[in-house]
Amino acid sequence: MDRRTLINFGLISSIPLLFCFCVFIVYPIINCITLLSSDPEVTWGMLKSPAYWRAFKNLLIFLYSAIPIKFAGALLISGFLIYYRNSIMSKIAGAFYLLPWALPTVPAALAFRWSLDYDYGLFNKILTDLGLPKIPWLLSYHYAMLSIVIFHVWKWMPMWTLLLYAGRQSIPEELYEAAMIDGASMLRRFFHVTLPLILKLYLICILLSLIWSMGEFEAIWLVTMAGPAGSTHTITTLGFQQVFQYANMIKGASVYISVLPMVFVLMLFLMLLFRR
Amino acid sequence: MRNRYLDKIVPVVAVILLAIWTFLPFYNMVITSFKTWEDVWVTSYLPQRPTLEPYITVITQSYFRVEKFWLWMWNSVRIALEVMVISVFIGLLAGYAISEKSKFSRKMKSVVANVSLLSYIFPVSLLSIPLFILMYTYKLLNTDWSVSLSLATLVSPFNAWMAAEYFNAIPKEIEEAAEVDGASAFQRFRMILLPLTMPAIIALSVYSFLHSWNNYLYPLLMLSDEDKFVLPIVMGFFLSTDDSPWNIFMAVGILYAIPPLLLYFLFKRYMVSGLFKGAVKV
Repeated sequence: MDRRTLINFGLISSIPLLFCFCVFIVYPIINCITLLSSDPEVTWGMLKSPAYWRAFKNLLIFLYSAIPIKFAGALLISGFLIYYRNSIMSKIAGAFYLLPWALPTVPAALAFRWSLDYDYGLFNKILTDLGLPKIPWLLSYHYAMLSIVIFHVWKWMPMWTLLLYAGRQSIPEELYEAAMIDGASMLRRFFHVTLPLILKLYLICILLSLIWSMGEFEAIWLVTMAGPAGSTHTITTLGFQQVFQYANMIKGASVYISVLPMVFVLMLFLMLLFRR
Repeated sequence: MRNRYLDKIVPVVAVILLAIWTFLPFYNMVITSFKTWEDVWVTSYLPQRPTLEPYITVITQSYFRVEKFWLWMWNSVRIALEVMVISVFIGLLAGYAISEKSKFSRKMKSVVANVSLLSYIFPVSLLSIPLFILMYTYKLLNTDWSVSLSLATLVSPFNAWMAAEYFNAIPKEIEEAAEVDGASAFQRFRMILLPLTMPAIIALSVYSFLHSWNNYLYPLLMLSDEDKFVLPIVMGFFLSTDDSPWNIFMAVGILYAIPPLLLYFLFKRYMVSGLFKGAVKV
């Protein structure tokens, strides 16, 4: 290999990205870790505090409820769009189902916050009109967690539906026709034709969504404001609050850095899945 | 056998349910923004006395919580444009590097590809405090740069993937012809590849613009001077008040949501195919 192929335009053109990666991703994380090791007492104090463990527990509860709901919904809706793809109904649904995704997060969270209001919210108005009791959406811990999950699913399900839809669209229709001639039921067609073909895509989507949902911030900070009484804090909002409201960078950074090992393990799995 | 009646009814019911689920909060936002201040506290399915008053209040900035609406809107636009320019620049170049078009050793290509994949799948908000500390150390807080550089770093890996896909789709022969004519790699990139990837450039630009337009956490952390605020920060502060004029807040939300909705429906074709290419076909 001569020098012309070693130093060429391809190399030069990748410099901005590599530069940004080193300066704005790798260096800040290392910098953060050195900052934490300079004051281990505060770091461990934060990580041992009940507030941290409650936030960690909330994060797990959030992930365990939001991800399955989101992906069950995405699978169902993409299946509907594919199954009725020649029907006008599927085209109508296709025109609007991406709206939550296209709507900016903050106005959407504002709309949820207002709709979930106990006295004046639209959701409780509908419940009372149907003869059901009002729900204290943002006033009790359990319903506040539920509100977070509902907002998260509402906002992000459309995007994953779109990805699964695109994946299922690439399955040739002849396979389904052949299965139908053989007398396979709808469920059997799903398990024996669709699932094996989109399994990898499905796993990648779930893993990616799991990683990204660990960083969910707006749903908690804006919809419940981590309330009632700070009980719905997760890792992201707790760390953010330490920095933003109490100006305590070490505490905030220790909360964020503490979940990075978990994130890296998941990222490793995802990279292996991508590369295969 | 497929049941004929069931086949007609099921999709209709499903679409109605999906529509209620999708539109309900949005619908509440729209009707509230057309209510008068007194009517906000009367929950109803339609505004009793529809009025444009909230929008006029926002546009003329005649309420103290929206007194700098246009300044904040301009800040949002400016930062989004900065993110767009920086990240499209980085993304196009890096996309070229990892595409089949660049003459670049296989090993280095996979390093660059892995780097951009890694930074693409990293959860955006978990970097906010490390970046905040970085910006604090270098006294960049409260400037456009603190937000636009952070966000551009986080968007450009995705742009690189998308750009690489588009570069790969260009037939080899076109470039080879130019190579025979003696064009250098940079000349080929500028005069042949770039003009042919206009749809990609549009998709990347829209995607980066929307990413910055939607982001809340980074501006909130980095900007503390009221004159530097972007609109999402201000909208977040609306929530910390009791007895608030929700009609005005919802009008602000709608005005902020119009540009992305327009962009989305204008460029839906590019966006959707781009998302699919970038995220799945790796």
